[in-house]
Amino acid sequence: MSDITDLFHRIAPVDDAGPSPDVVEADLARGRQALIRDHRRRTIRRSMAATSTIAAAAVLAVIIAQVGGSTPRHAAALSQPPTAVKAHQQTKQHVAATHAAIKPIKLVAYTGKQLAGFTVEKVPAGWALSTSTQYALLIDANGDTNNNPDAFEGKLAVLTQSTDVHGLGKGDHVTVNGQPGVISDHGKSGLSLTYNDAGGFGVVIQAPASLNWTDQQLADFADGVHATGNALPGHG
Amino acid sequence: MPGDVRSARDEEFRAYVLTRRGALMRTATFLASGDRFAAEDLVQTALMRLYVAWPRVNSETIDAYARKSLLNALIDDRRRAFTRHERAHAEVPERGISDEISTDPEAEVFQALAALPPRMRAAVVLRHLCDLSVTETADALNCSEGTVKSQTARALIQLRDALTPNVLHPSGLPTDAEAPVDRRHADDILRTANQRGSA
Repeated sequence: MSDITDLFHRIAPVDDAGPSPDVVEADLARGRQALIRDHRRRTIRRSMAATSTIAAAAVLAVIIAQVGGSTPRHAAALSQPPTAVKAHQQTKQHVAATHAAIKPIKLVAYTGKQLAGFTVEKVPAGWALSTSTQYALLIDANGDTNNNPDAFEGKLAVLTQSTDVHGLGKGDHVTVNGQPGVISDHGKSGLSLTYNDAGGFGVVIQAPASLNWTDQQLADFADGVHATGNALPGHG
Repeated sequence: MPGDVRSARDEEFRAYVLTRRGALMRTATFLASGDRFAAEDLVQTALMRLYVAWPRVNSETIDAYARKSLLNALIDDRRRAFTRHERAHAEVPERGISDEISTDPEAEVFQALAALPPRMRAAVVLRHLCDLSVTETADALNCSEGTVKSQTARALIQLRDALTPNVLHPSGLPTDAEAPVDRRHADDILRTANQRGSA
């Protein structure tokens, strides 16, 4: 036995009596509390891990859906147009199918009262002039009018072109009273025709999809539209 | 937790605390350099960890687990910022070594132990108080046996240098043959450890 070992054993306190019952119970109580805390920590850790796994799976699913992968299945998916493009195509197809199924509303001669701003020779069958300002003439189906000059939805609108707009834009080219015009397809909203009349006055006609018109029908309607001295070019 | 399992754990734990708390407290007192409040903290922490791990602990290695928990508690405690910082004392704690006869051997030993780094102190306490082998001490400290040997050797040198002769040898100074051999043995271990370290 080394001198240090001997020294340590000599001075080491010896507790022959052992701990009191209170000390033992206190140790036990601390142990139980620690066990409860340990269980709680494990539960929280497990739930956090589960949450992280679900979140990671969701993110992964989104990434796969958007980017795709290298497997044949994913490659096939990639060869398809993006979802937004597909949706747009389906919408156009749906609109075209709807247009084909619904007969276009024919133009009929208009014999009623003209309003300030523009005069019209023809209107869609069953439609009538609703209201007008110096900048717009609105025509809608009889009995379906709200007479609001600022509400164009669902109405056939003849508008003066803004002085801030130059050119006719892009679309199908037609002629209106011998003047060049351009028709743009706005899908569910319908068609618009932009042209300058013989006097150089800019006109925009918006035809709602509910008319189910062709470009030619719209151009035919425009042939009968004439701006009067009350019409003023728009701004902005 | 089913009631019977819990009560079985409690009963076994109670029995262990009754029989072994004294030994743990003795070891903890040396590890804490005589600070009995700190020692009590170490024992409480170790027993708390032991209770949580009770079902996983092999009945033959309960003491080893408890000792390891004690050491971890000591090292964790030393790592805390509060204990790392210097503490203000009204009186200078250090005192010079004198040839005078010490009247309080216990205080002198604990003061000498306090001057050792925690792991070095733990190595010498496990080897010379708990009578653990080098292998058992290495397992408890989670280090190599060579580290245990070198740490213990350094600790012995520092302790012998710090302690007054009458504390170290109350029955009289050792014969010329005893002390130098012991010292030589420590020096040899240190030399070997240093050579390995520099190689």
